[in-house]
Amino acid sequence: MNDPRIDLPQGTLDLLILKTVALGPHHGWAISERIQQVSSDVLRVQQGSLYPALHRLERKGWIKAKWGSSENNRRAKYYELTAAGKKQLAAEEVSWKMLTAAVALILETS
Amino acid sequence: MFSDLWYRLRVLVRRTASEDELDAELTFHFERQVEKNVRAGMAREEAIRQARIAFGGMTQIKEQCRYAWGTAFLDALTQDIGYGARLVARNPGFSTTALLTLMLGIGATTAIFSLVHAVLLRPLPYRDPQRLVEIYEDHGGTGVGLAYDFDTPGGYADFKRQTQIFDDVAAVDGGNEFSLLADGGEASTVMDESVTWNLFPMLGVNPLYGRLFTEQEDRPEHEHVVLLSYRLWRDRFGGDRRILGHDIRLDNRVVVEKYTVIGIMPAHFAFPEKNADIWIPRAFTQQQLDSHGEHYLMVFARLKDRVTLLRANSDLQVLADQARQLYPYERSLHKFFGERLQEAYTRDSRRGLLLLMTGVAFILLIACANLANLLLARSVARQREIGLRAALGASSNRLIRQLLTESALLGICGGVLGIGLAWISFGFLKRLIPPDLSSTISLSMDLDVLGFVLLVSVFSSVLFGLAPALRLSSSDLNTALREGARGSVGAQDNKLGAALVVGEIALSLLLLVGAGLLLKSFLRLRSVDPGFRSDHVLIMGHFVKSPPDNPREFRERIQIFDRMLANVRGLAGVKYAGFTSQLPLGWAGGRAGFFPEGAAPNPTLYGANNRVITPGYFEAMREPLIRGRFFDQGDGPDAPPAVIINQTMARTFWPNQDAVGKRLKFGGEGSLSPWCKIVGIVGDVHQVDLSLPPGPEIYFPHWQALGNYMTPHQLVVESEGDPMGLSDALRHAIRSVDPDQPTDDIFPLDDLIDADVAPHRVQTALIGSLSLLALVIASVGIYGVMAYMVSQRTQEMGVRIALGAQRRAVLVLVLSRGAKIVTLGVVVGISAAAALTRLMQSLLFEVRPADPSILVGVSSLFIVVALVACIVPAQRAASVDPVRALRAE
Repeated sequence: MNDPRIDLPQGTLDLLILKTVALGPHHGWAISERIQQVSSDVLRVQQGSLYPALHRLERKGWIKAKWGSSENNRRAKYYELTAAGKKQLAAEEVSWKMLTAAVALILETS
Repeated sequence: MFSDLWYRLRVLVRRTASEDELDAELTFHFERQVEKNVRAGMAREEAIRQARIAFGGMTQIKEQCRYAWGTAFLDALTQDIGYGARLVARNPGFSTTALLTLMLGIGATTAIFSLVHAVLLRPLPYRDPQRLVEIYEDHGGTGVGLAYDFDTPGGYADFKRQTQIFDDVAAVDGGNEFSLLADGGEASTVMDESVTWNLFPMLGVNPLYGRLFTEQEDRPEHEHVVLLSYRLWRDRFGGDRRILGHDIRLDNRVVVEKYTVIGIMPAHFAFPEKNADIWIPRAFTQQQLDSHGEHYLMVFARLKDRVTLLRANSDLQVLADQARQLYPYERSLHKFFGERLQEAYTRDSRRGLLLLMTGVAFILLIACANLANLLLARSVARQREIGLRAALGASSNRLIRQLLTESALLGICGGVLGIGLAWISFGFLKRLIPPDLSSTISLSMDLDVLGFVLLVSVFSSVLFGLAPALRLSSSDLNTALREGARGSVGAQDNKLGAALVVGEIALSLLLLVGAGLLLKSFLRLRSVDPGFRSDHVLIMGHFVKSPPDNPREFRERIQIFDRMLANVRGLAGVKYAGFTSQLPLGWAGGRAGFFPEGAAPNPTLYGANNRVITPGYFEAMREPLIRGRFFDQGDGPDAPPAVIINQTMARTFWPNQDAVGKRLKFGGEGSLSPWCKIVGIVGDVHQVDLSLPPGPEIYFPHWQALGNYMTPHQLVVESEGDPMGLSDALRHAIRSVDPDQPTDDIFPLDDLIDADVAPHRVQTALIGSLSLLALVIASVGIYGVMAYMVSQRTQEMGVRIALGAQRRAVLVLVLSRGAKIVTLGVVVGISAAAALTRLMQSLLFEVRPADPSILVGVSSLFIVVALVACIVPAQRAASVDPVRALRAE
């Protein structure tokens, strides 16, 4: 239990993916790397969850995919936020903030 | 939601591309991971190994992505359909039996449903047809149900004033035979429906060409315009539009008048009756609109929005109560009432159709029970396969889904075959459409019917597939794999199978009883003596002007009749000839109030049918003379008035006396009509219908019918040979006396009886064939269950025989098991029949619903058929070779 990395709570991955692609089109690898780096290696995304999540979000119409060439000139599948995704992200951010604030409140009062 | 569906569809359509893309995406990720590892200083081999560990199972990720696509359900479905198709193809015997059974079950159901749909459910082709009603008078009083009597012009005017319930009210003075004269050519009889101008706008129909009536044309002296039916326009005017605006000459029995053709109605329009040829405006004088005496109108109305039929009828009841007080001729009025147009048209056929629908529903259930049994039997063979699938991790939901998909596959294939069968049956089923609707509606495979087929197919698939599917998927893995090896199942399955067969037997027995009752009543009806002989008789409709009141014209008329008759009787091959005002088996022939001499005064008058005839009529119809004499030359215009009555009349009014020589007169006791002497009594004929008993009847000689509104307009000829062979000679004989006489309405009298029993025949034939079908399917079911039981117990039989059991004892063992099932089924079926056939009462003629001979007959038939179905498996059981049976263990 000394491992500082933690598993993502249910549903958080979607939020993180949406937030990441909101900054611009990313491919799956870049998304996973970025989440890991920005969270200073605390959050680690398993490929087994990342790709099904990406496909699920695409099906819901929150992100859309297109093929482009990567930094090292290879074909990669890029995901970007759609208008519906933008709304979803905003909504999820609000509810996440409310959730964490509420949880923090409870933890502090004890 | 929509984008989601779109996404799934896209994935489905570009399946391979999606798979390739997924592969490329994951490979890209994997390679970047390897590169990162290499950059971190790992050797290439180690980098790949670490990347694999980090990645986890590539196949699982792919599977989960596919799941995320939302197409997993469809994948499983395609897979299941594949399995199912393979199974169907691999067991041709099973598949053929199953598909044939389903085809018959679903086909029969679909055929009858399309009929019910066309007749009872599909709205009539008029604007907002649910609001259209027909209004009747009811003089029948309470008790025997409603009487549907015609309305009076006064009544029509009163209904028209009920603007609080009706948007519009229209009247039809229908079924008038006119003669359409042709300059130089042959005149023909046409059927006129005289209608108020607003009828067509009320129905919401438009002419094919030309225009409809205007309100101005609906006034006395302005009504000389005519609309033609499509059929008349095509046949008589060659479909030439130039007839519009031209005049045609119509003889309406009073005068010959010119009518201007203003429009042609569309091909399928026929209102209110199917044989309508022309429509002319029916203009009423104010005097007529105030009269409540003569009942000859059909009145149609459109209900106001938000006015229910119930509300309208209660307002009409108030009106009827007033009418009864106000008008002497409405004293017997019980009520006015409206009936929805669709119901008015289908009143007589509804019960028969619902009976047929019940019949096919039974067939479908029987077919499903049979299939469930087939599948149960087959499930034994499949227990290992299913056990294996379960052992390899298929969930029980997934297994049920697979098995139900297979059933649905069978069901839908059966449904497609059933559509074909139903399609073929349309030619025959057409005849069950009520005659007055036959030109307005047709049978077709429309979307509603196809939807119904789909529903029935899927519903029956679940019905016959669920039990076997549940049984299989819930069976214990261990026993499944073990028992499967020995190819046997527990006694439980057999019980379910036997219960299904008991149900099948009961249902088909119920159907057979119903069919038997209908058949018996049909035979009864056929054996009813109509009171006349129909063979070798030809009928020619004859066009006669309204009876003149003027004695001089009347005499001229009589002479024309007599000359025609003389001509006809002179033809070779003619035995007898005479005219009548009304043939039997049609219309009662007009009621007449009369008073028998010496009877007690009767405020409501004594009533009898009346017919006007010429000499020769009774002879041609071969109606027997019971007493007295027929009319002869002595009953001329100046002779003392003479009448002939029927037996019922003699029995009713002169019981235990000789009626010949007694006198009666038209009207009540105080009427000024002359006394008429009864000169003869003839046998009864069925005036209206074979199923209705004959009523009292008076015949008048045409020579003395001055002032009688009935005219003898049907020529009856008894021939020596084929009656229709005389038609040309007859036409010539008639036209040589009156060249303008239409002579196109000729038919053999046999047709009249056929028309009377035809609906019963078609219905009986249909229910009969349905019940035979049920019998066949049910006996296949019995055979299946017995054969299956024997095959399951081959070893047991072998052991019994090896231990010294007599083969006969084995035979009896199997037969007794079969007999038990059959007896149970028969008992259940008979009890159900005794309770349910009461609902058929109104369809039966002189047969009681619980007719013991039918119940006993049908049960015996069933037991014999069922035992035959058991004998083959029983013999197979008895002939088991013990050595082989035991070795097979």
